[in-house]
Amino acid sequence: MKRIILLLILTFNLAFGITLIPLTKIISSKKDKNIIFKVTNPTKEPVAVDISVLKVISTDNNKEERERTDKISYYPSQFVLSPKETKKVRVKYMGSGLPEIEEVYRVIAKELDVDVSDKKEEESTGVLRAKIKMRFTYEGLLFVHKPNTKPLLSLSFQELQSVGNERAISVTITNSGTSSIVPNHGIYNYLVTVKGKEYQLQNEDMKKAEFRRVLAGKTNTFYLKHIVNLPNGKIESIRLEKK
Amino acid sequence: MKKSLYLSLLLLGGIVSANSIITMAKVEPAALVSFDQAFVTGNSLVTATKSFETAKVEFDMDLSTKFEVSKNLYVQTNTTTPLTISLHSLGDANGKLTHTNGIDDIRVDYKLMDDDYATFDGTLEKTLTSSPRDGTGDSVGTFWFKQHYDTPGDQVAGKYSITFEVILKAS
Repeated sequence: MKRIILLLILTFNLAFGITLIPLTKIISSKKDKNIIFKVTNPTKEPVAVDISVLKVISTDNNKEERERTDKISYYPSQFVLSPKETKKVRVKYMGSGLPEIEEVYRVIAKELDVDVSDKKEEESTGVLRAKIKMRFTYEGLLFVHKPNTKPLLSLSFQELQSVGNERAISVTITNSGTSSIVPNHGIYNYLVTVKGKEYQLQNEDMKKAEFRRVLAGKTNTFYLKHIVNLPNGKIESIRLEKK
Repeated sequence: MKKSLYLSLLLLGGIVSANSIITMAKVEPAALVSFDQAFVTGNSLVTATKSFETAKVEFDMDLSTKFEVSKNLYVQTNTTTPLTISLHSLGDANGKLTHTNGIDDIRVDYKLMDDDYATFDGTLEKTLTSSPRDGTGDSVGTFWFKQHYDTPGDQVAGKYSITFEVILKAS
């Protein structure tokens, strides 16, 4: 009978993961087709990093769909960052001109779950170490469009079954404009008409609402399930007002 | 055989519980993520809290509960002590996340990844909504901690090796 007693020494090395800077970047001029993202390892251990760039093709129902693209080139795609080291990732838009309708790309810096340090403590001592590991992935955004693009939103809604005194609605927002936007209540007032009178939804009504990006030419649906500041009566209309 | 297996499951299941908190703070240029971790083993409660200064926490675990594996074995916490993870966005002094570069929002998804000895029953993903940006935090899920031992004859006292994959996503 094989017997192994696992000695448990749990160490937790609280080190912050890699960072990607900037997290968002816009290409809106032919002069800006070459841009740089910086990946930094602020920890005391080396980390392996994988870079990828994918085109965002849909965010419908808050699910982001992405696909490979040959419109963006980037270098390098994989590297090891020494402690405190920063590396530049060069990204280039390969399209012949800037698109009329905004294109959105994910720039992803992923810390690989690979130990690239030289330490071999476990092998040398025979003591198994239990660890809590943190692996970071940064998913930045790159927007490519001509200058002066704008979102243009329209809205439809459906009232859902209420729970207790909390009313619930689903809001479907269509963006027929030329740039994307996250239509959250920090940017827009949600104005609801009940019995001919208009009410503005409050932060309390937006509790746990998850607003994601609505791409240009696309639609997304959001759920407001905790509306408590509306009077009884049928919801006649909802409109957005930019703050 | 089955009876002893169930008994063993109950025994070990009853003594393992954990509670983790991932704390998010200013996201750019550096995301601050930390744990408050508590393990209950046997009669001893072992806790460790984050320390940004020392950047290291050591656990002194109770190793008294050894356990012999007679066949492939899955051990999980009992139904009253699930592992709970919460995400907190601490925000700045005014209770708001500090953004630069026009970031609309930051989301943190996490995945619990398999390890040699510890797996989690399924993968959880959760999006931070805008509501916890005031620093109040947001519980993102409760799940069962589960360990898998597959070498007959092994004796184990418990090993916890967990990898969190934290995804910071600009939206």
